[in-house]
Amino acid sequence: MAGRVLSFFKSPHQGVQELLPWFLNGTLEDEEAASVEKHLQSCPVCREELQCLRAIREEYLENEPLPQAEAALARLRPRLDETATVLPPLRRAGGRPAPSSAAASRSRRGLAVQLPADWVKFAMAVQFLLIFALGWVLLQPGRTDLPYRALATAGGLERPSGSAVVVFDPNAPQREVTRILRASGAHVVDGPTVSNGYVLVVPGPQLDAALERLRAEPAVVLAEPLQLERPR
Amino acid sequence: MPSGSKSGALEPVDDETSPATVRKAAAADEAALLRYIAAGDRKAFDALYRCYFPRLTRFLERVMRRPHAVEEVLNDTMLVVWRKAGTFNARSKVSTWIFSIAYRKALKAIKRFDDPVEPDEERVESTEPGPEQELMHRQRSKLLLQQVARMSAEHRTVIELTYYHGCAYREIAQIMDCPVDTVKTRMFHARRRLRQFLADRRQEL
Repeated sequence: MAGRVLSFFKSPHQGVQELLPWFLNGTLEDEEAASVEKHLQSCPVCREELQCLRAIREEYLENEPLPQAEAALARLRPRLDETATVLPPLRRAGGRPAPSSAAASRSRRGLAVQLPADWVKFAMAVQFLLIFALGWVLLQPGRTDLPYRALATAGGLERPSGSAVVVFDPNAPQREVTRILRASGAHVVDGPTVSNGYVLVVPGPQLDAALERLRAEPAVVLAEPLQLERPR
Repeated sequence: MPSGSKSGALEPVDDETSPATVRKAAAADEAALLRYIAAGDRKAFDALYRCYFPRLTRFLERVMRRPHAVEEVLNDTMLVVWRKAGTFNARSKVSTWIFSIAYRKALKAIKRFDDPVEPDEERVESTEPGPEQELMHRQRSKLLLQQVARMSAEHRTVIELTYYHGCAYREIAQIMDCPVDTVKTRMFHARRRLRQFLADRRQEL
């Protein structure tokens, strides 16, 4: 509770001090960021505090390789099927049999016992139709790149020349990512995003060379320039 | 079925390279993914799961300090995402929504555990030997993380969401379901402790 007192008797200096961590991670609103910047120019205490926060963050971000998703996802899948049994029949179409979940097969057996045979036949027919329809939808080309669409096709947003996006292998260690970014000669303006992407700015004429260098790295999944055209 | 355009989510801004703009673009894309998931699209779910797995794993490890329970809580979280994708309120970001579910699940899990947790002192030695300087850096980093691990779950969460996940303080307030001033105050106390830790270490050297 003692901390609450701070917010009631806050001086502008204290207000800025509190905002510094988010000034550092670039998430303040424009007005807030501007007021922090202005205050920093005249306050050596806050400048020193910002340096200290930067040092803490750097140490905090030093981390171990990121874990693999596949094994855990495989263990979750049977439970998704289990969910399908409690949803309305139309939803069940997306489900596949759960090979290893005892709970899932128990609940499925329970359902079959309670329902009349005709209904089951009808549901089976609808289910097969929907499996076919959903399968067709899922197998369409162009839908396989979902994880990386976030930055590659940013909904027609425009960027100035020299902007690029780079996505790293999720298993690449942090220090490797840092090394590659340094070697590329680009500046990071945002990231990492959820898809391990970073938005970079490269001095105009050096963009192609920087992209070449990035693409040569095995840990780089994608390195592309961002679009210039203004959407119609 | 998924419908609706992304244009509503993307407001015109002056500076197209600003982090805020890029984040909005990524958020709009994730919201689209969530609409597919609400329609029962397994591939969309797998994609979202893979996107969030590293972040959630790290987040839950830091908040709960119990590595053996992380996968269970993570999968419980993503199961809620699968079941409730249709109820997602587009006024908040997808990441804020998912992290708030994970945070609630983590707090519940912590309550279930009675065992007191000591910060993991052994992991530094178990890392592969590298160049001396790098090893020293990692060692120092581990010591800092141990300091963070000694704090309360609330303080650890604010630090983790700010430093590692790059969340704005308003998002953190949504995730933790508390006032923004509480977020700022928690961060202020946490960083004061870390600052003291760095100062003590400097004196030791």
